[in-house]
Amino acid sequence: MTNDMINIVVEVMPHFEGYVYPNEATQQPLWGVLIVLYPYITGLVAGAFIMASLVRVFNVKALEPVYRLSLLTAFAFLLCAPLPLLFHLGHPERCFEVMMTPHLTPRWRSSALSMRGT
Amino acid sequence: MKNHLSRRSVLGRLSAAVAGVLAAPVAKAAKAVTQKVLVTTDAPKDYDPIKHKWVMAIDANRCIGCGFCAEACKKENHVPEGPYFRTWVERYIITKPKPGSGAARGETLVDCPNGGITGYPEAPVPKEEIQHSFFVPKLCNLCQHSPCVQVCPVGATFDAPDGAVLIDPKYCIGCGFCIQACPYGCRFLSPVTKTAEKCTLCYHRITRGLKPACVEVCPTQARIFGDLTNAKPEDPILQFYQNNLVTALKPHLGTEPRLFYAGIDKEVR
Repeated sequence: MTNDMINIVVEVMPHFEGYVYPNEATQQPLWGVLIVLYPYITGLVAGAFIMASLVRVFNVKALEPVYRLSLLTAFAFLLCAPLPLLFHLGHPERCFEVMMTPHLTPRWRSSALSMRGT
Repeated sequence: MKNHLSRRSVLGRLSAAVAGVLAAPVAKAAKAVTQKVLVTTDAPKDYDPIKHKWVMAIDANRCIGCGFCAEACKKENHVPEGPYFRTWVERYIITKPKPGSGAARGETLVDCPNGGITGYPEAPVPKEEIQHSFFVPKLCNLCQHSPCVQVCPVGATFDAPDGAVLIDPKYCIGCGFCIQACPYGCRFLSPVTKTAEKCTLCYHRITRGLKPACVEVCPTQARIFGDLTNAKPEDPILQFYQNNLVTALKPHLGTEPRLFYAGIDKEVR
């Protein structure tokens, strides 16, 4: 399934002619479907949230039955929105480092002595 | 009109400016020291990066395209099989201009099968149509203003005080940002470690007084490596700077590479 999707994207991508650096001549693009999924899911979140806000903020009575559903949908997609970006990382377990940057040193987890010369 | 500048405010601003000027080198030194103490590299414990300035230069006139450097690099640094290279050798073929065209030179044909390790196929154009051809070894350009360092979201890539641009493998999250940013295509995402990797100038070797693997195996001394801080006048790297007209790759990008080439054509990118 994922491979099929990746193949579709690769086929749609423009084919380059001429020379490409060997490191860049990989079979699949470095940033693939998983990156594209992120704005897709956040779009769903935004859309569902607007549906919910129409009821309460703008008082659209016609949408009252879907108020609860759309808010829950927004919440559900919100929870899984970062997942594609996380899984595209080589090391998803280190993702929190992004929030810790900028920092004085790249290494702060273990003691200074054990970090040298490893 | 009343003068708004009191003596107190002028003195305050002046002292702030002086403090700012004085603080800059202090901050630089502090950064170098923290990097030295706290960053994971392959250097031995007694290595002091502040006392060195490593540079590499390429004399493309001497390169014969044997690909030993690319092969040695793969073996020395355990670079994974496949399209992953820390260094590689490109073949440039410049054809003669087509009859009747106003151009002085024909098209540029570049190829680099398997990084140049396994040799090159027959030229794609007949020999009579080739104006000239040459080889260009490529590696990290050791930029002073490295795009890869600027974009790293976790600060895993850094400029070492000794001129090398390194990656802390225990910090890299493998997002691929630096790979997209490098205008020279010198980085790749390793399928083994799942982190970005690049030429480190064989940091584990140079910090122990050895030459990088590619320099060591080059049979024609097309690669010149040296330490600018401790170079004697007869050092090959100073000789190279003295005797050659050098150029850098893609100078219009403002990356200020510290890797210089001699004997390459304007077509080389």
